[in-house]
Amino acid sequence: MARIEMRDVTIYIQDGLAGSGNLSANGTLNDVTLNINTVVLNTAVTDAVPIGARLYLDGETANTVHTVTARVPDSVNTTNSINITPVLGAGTYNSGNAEGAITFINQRIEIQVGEGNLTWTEAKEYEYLRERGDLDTVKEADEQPVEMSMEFVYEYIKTQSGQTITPVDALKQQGEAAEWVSSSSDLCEPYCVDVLAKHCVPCGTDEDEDVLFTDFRYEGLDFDTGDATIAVSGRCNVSEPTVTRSTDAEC
Amino acid sequence: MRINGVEVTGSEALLVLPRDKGDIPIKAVAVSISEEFDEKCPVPVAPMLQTKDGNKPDHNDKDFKVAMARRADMRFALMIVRSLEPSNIEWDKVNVDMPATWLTWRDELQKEGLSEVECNRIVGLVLEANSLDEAKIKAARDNFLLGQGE
Repeated sequence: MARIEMRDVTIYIQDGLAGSGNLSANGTLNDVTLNINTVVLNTAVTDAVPIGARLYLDGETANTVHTVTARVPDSVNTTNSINITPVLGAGTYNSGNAEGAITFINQRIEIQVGEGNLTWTEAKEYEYLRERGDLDTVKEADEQPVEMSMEFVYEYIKTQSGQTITPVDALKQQGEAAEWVSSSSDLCEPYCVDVLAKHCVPCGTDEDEDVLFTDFRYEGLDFDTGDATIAVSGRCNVSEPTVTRSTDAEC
Repeated sequence: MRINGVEVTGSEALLVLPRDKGDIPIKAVAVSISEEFDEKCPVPVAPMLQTKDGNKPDHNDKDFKVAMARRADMRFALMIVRSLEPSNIEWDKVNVDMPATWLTWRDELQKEGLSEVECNRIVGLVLEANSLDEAKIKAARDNFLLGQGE
């Protein structure tokens, strides 16, 4: 396997937004604005779509993921229409049936890495049981959270929605990330995010690799906009990251 | 409001489409839609890039360019729908409160039997009502000056 170059890695910090909705008017190819209703999200105001929310429509042929760039009304109230990017692709968007169904997925920021490092530690604890002093059997002890740290210089941080969300904002649910939703399934737990490291192999036929650190909470954070450096460390509420290999369309 | 004793009214234009079962009058008036349009169809937002040199919108993003072009089309569609309101067209799909329906105005008219050429004439009618036609301005000026000379 090829050596992983950090400049081929894109890091996404993403929240746990999820929900559904429906078109209230038929859509057409190249639509920017969608009229929506029956929105149910896991946000504080369940029918207010956050700017930055991502979504896909059942009726779209290519199953493109769109990002919300504006909403009407522009407040944390019932959202009647949204602007999306990219515009609607080919498909059938009938508001009266399943073709008009909208699925909302996580909000995220994209960090293009220049150079740096990402490390993580998985720990396993076993208990060795003895019988009359001789090793007999082994049983698994308590699960240990994954410890993850990353330190890198970024080329740029990109938000498709046009917001200026820094990694600190995303990790702390503040600023324009105030409407982010914890990635934990239990929203009574302290706020956390998912960190996705996407290694896009630039050559050959090797598959791209995604490493997802679920429910990450930072414990140390150092962010320098002047030098464009980020150093963050913390732990995830899982015992190992989720690693998948595929020919990733986003790469 | 009056200017020089003349009541100010909006510009109007009339087109009558001939039909055997009764001609169809299409009337267009000048409209101001900027505020309504901006409210219902906010300006697309370019992706934001944060670099060590500061934040800058990515105006070269291809999705952003497509969205801007699309917004221009929607603005024109709203102008057409609003301008044609005095014609009392009973739209099936077009709803001024739903931006996603605005661009269907042409499809809807054609579906009801108007030809493509007739739709283009309606576009011309709306433009005539909403723009300053040099020939009309000249005719009005000549008429005004003629009246002053009397």
